[in-house]
Amino acid sequence: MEPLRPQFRQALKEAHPGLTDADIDRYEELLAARFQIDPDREPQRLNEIDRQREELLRTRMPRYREVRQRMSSTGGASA
Amino acid sequence: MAETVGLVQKLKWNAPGGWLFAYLGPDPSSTTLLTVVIGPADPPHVRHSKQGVMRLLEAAQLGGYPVAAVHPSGSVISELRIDPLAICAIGQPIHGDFFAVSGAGFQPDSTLVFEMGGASVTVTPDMVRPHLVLVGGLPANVPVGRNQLSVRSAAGTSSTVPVDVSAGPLTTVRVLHPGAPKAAPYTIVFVANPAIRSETGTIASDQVLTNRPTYQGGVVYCMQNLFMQVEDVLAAQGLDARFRIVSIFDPTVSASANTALVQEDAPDIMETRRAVLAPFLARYGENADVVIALHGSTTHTRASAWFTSDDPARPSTAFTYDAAAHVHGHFNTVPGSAAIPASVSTGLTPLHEFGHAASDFTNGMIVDLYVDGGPGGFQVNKKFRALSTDPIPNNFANYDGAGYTSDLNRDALGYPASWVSYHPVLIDPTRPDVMDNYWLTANPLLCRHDRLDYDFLRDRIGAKASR
Repeated sequence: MEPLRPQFRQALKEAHPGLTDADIDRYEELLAARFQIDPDREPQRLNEIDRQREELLRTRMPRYREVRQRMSSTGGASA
Repeated sequence: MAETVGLVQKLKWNAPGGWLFAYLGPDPSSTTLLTVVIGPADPPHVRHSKQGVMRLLEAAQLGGYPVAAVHPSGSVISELRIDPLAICAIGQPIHGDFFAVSGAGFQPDSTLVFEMGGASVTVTPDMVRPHLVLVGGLPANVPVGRNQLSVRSAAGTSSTVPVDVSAGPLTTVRVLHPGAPKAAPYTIVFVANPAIRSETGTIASDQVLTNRPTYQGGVVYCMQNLFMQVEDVLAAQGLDARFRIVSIFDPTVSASANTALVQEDAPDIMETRRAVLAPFLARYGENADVVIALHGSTTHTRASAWFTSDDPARPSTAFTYDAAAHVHGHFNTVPGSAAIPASVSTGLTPLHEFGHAASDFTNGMIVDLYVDGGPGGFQVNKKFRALSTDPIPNNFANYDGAGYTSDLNRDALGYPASWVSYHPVLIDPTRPDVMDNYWLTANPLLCRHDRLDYDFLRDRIGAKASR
């Protein structure tokens, strides 16, 4: 998938005090791993990764969607 | 042996009587009268041949193409040719639609010149390749009706071909390049996505179908990204001249589970729905190697791709990777695919996602290099050390008998201290790999693949193009 722009990463950290690059990297790693799983062959493994990803978002980056929309609407990042 | 070359200015054809008069010449006032007559004693194969000449003369008159008529004695045509044209319009030119012209040796400064009645309109294309000139939307100032079209550059002007310009309607399926003249050329299909499956599973129409200019702009940006950058993995030695490239924009499609080619993946990813892609394309008689679905979502704008699933039951080309036997499959059971916002206008996203989509789940995945990740499956461009403190091996891999060294520095980005992964050597060590985070350089459009990805992709696509 498309890599994160550095401006978006920075905005994520500003919106989530305490969020670290390691947290974001972990999320990105899960996402990349997800797209390496054939959804037709291993749907359960894919679902498990999605569950971990959602948990990470919920606990460490609850405002991710809000940051994305703000960046998109200001042209700061499409990704 | 006499030969007359010219346009078919007038035809008198008495089909029941078996005779045809053709007036050939450069203009209506300067013609040569030639004839085709089916005699009562002509055997069936001669009659068939003469009928074919008659039909060809009629087609040449309607199309405005010059013919070369051989008439050994007198006015009786014994043979008829339409000589190869220097350029060929791919479909008819329609205001606001894509328009492409194929040929050979097009220069980067090429323009399209439409002439009618002594006036001309010059159209600057959005993409020029040696074999293809592409306009993303034909301007409305090109006059409707029969025009003479040529391709002009500082190097010269091509001969003209007649084209019939119209104001509409816009096409549903537009071939942007026909590719190699074979049954199954390597094929990339761009699709205006008809519907989106939401995070909650509901299906709704995709607004991209109401915004054709944005869609066409997205296709043009993708084409420029794939074929016109410094990275020439798809363009070197004219590899892309063998590609069939098709656009599908069908505003009549209703939103349904079968037409939702993409789905939202919370919180911001759009992904293709692999199972519905090939059946959807089949409606239009298309069969793709890679499908690029351009969508109109404004909330799920992060692009993604799924690898191809090669068909193991069909022919393939063998290769080795670190002495293990593998194959480049010639056909797929599921095409590679990417979901990209139609509004894409910056960065290297189409080329990056194409790198994923053109590779394969089993026969070699070209993976993201901007995360560390871990072992699993056949990853072409990433390997792993046991410990992050272990030195990066100098040799990365042996692909099909050739050695590839490792990228010891990861461009100027450096490998984070915690990472165990490492990558193949870069072609351009001054910029990140196409499959790495290309946003981390001033101009992503200058990024290159690494040497291994480059060779692997060219071999793989070349194998498919050879089928």
